[in-house]
Amino acid sequence: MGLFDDVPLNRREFIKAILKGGVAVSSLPLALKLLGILEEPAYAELVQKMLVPHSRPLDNNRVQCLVCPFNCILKIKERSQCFTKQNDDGKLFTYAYHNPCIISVDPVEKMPLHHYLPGSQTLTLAIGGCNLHCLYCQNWQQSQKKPDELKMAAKMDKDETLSALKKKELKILAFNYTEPVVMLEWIIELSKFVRPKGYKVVIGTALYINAEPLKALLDAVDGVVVGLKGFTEEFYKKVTGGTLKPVLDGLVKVKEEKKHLEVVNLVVPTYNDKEEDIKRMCEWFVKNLGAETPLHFSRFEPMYKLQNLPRTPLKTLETAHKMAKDCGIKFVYIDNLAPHPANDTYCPKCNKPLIKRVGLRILENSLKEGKCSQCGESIPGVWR
Amino acid sequence: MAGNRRSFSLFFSVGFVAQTAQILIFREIFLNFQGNELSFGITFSIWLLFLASGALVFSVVKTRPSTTLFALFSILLAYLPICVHLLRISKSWTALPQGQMIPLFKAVIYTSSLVGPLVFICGALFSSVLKYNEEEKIVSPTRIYILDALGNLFAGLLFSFVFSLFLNHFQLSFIAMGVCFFSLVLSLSGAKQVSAFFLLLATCGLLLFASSLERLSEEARFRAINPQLTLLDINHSPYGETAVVRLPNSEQIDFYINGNYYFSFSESDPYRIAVQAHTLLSLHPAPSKILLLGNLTIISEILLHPLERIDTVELDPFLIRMFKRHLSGRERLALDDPRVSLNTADPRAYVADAPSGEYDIVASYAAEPLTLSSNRLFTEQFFAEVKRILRPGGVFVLSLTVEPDAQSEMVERTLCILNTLKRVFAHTRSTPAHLTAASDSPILIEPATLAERYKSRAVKSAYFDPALYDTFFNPSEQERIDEALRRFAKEAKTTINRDENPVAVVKSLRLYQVLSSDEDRTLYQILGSIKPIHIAIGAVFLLLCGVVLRVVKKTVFISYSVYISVFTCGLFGMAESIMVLLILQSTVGAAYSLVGALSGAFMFGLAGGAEIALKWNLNTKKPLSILLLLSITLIFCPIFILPLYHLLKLRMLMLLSLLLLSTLSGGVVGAVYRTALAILKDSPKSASRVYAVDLLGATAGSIVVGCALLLTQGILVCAVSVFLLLTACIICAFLIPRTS
Ligand SMILES: [Zn+2]
Repeated sequence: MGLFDDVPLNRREFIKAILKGGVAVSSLPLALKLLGILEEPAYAELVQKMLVPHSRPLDNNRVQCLVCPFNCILKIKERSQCFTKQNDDGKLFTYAYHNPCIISVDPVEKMPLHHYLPGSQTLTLAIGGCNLHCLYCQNWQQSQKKPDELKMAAKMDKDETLSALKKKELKILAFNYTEPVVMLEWIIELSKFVRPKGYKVVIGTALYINAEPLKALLDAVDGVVVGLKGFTEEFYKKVTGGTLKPVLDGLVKVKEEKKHLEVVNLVVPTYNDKEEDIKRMCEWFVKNLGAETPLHFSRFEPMYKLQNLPRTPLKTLETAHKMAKDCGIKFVYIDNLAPHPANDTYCPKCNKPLIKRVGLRILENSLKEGKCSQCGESIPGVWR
Repeated sequence: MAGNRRSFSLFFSVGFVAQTAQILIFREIFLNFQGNELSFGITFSIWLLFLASGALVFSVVKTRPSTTLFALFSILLAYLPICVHLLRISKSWTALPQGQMIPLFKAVIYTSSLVGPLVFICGALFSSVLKYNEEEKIVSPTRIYILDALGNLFAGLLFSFVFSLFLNHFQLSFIAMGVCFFSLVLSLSGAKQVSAFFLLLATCGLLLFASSLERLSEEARFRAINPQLTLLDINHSPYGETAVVRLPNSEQIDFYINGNYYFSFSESDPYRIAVQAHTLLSLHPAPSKILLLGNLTIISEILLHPLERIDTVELDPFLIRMFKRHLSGRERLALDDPRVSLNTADPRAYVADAPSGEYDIVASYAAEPLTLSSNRLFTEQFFAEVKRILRPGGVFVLSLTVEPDAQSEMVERTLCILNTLKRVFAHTRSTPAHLTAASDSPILIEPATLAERYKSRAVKSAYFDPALYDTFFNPSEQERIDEALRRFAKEAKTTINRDENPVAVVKSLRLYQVLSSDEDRTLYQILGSIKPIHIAIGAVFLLLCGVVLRVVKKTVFISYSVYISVFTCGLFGMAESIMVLLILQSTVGAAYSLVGALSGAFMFGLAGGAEIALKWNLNTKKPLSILLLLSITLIFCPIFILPLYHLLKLRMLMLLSLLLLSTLSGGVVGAVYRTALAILKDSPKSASRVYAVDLLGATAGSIVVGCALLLTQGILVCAVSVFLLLTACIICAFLIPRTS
């Protein structure tokens, strides 16, 4: 009954642990390892890999990944910090290809998309790995692991994805739970195949990505939900490991490309709940993304590394909701907290409740061809 | 002579202060490790190592004993409360983001560097008091051991059963120091006596400020956890520490237990409690009597259903006081509803004492089984007790989430609890509503059925809509969970969580603690890699070496046999102590308050055993073998205490038998120590060597048995492992030639 064994521990982590731990403590695991007491981790079945176009070769067989602002420079056999890309013989390959660890059918509201075919369902796929390392990640079991370390739910190439969409009679293909940016190549391949056949593709992303790959990604999708995690560089550095600037630039780009956009802000108590930060965020939002872009505030629950932090008080969420409204943002929601008046969509002109939601379910939708049934105001979104 | 006799108090006070320091340190470390019982093994090993080094260093340092004593006592007075405070704020030095748990590895490093010097002084005090006695010729050295041990026992019992419930850690440390200075006033003379008197006065003065100091220190502790939290109230119970804190600009009240975020409540947040209440209540077709273990904030919504009675159980009366103080309006009124009875008890004991066939729903909101104490509410024995108090068709509901996309560690932990539930109940369903229901009747969870039940009871809640059953019991989510459970069952091994083999603790620890750092990953991997087979190999190795030595060189063989007996006995003593703590923690859960009494009893046994061995002049292989045999008997006792306790349900009897077991095993260790010295002909050189070997054995016991084997393999495997080592020693002792 080995309760501790088979904890995956790769060589790099192991050596890091030794350096950090000091010789006295760490010579013991080394000795145990030599004695064969600590086992080498066994990786899951070999998966397909694919060349990463957004990369460039460097000297000494090194290669640089150009997908996200980390711009990892990798030696032979080295993994990128997003867990998905590896330098194999001087070329950059992604191991996030055809091998989703999550396949799920979800309401589109789970993305959360409130202005995009309400009440419809998505085929949601996710491959392991993420270029950010948020301390409160809800899907840390998948996002903080190599895709080839995780059990593949099913092989999903373009034909299999199409037949799954047909079989389940779904119209939307979604990429959520982990980070679409790190499985860009696969998404583009699937999207090129299913979109001409009338299917929609949506993604939920932190948008930590360089300009060129972002262009390629946006060309492949119809709707984007962006997790704008905070509004200070300090927060991004401390909690996500990334930076804020590329995310803001990316958001502007999504708007320029006229893709359907909704933004989610997870309010983490004592981290990004300062009123002045939320206010600055809302002001930037109106100026750069427009008052018509929906904004969701979402509640933090103790998760992953932040187990020891209280969940977000309702009052904090309601204050944020009010500030966003006061800034002029027309569609502001409070998510994962129901039933609450801020779950519903209201007409910005006559304030009539247009879409009533409970949890992930639509109770009532009185929109008439994308317009308010009372005053005729046009509500932005994709309704048919 | 009169002055001499008064010096008796000195020997007593050295034991008294050491034990007090141990209790305080044990508790602070327990809280620093977030209630994780691994802290027992770790504290014991830190304690033994530094105590031994203090004693050894000061046995060779040449100083005037009375001056040394005076200086050491004064340093201890200054450092004991400071150490308590530093332990509390040590989280802030880890530079971890607020809200992140302290990794075990870091906690060990910080703890030992803070506690080490303190324990070193305690060891040094003991050596100095021996030298003082040598110079002043007051009593025979063994008397000092007895007096010191009496001090240990007295402090242990006093603090465990009397003081711990009323006095804070600053008051306790000042009282201990007061006792010390009082004994110095009695023992010393001249200028030193006068200074001691003034220091005694100063200590009494400090006692007046102890409460304010405690408050400031506790506030600093919570600032270290998160600088933005405001500490509203704090309370120490027999089970640990409960704190009430508040976030800036928030009405929400947050509870931290042993430094762990436990839960929040807020009157402005009724949606959450509504969902919890109505998902729970709809799992039974027509509930009438309900038992809630924890989470009593949801009763205002539960009361909207037509019920006969709700019994609630909270561990700590402080929680109910806090609810009453901080709640108002509807939630506050609910607490006084005639249908509600608020009980403060150990939930485990409450369920055991409840009449059979009493409840339609028993709901447990126990914290994750990260500690033995909370694991008591996840074992097969507990589930069986719950089943007994359910009416026919009754449902047991556990707040256990099954994540369909869970990976290895999560799968192992979840399946372990589910398999244990399945051993007891015929039907179990894990739902997307973060609830797992178990019953002997089929459990219906179709949203339409649940909504129908809700509507048929004419419940009027402003914060809930029966349409929400569609979200919380979403059929496609449900299908994913059921499908995942079938998959998990194929992937993971079946393990059952039991009182005597609390496997869920390790599985949860592994799940949550490995999140915190790479070092912890390695640490847990090492602890988990220690298997009984390694101990068996060790035992065979000891025996083989013995046989070879017996043939090759008889004189070396004698000391070899004696030393391995002392080492194994040291290991046995520690293993027994930690097994006793495990039993205590997995039944009554109050090791936090009782650890002092148990270790005091052990220390008392230690001195008593040595005294008896001296009196009876035990100095041959025969008594050594008999003592080792006695250890074998004692190491198997804990196995029987648990089932016997479940049979008789006499808590006081179990407590007494645990105290007796500690005393007896201490006695055996002390007697073996004395007999070994006698066999080795009592030279001062062998005395310090035997002492060192004994401590090494105890350290090995605390790490190998206390930290690794006990939690991963359970009591039985531990007992057998120690048995194997002891057997090897007995055979060696038996082979000692009849010379001398
Ligand atoms: Zn309108």
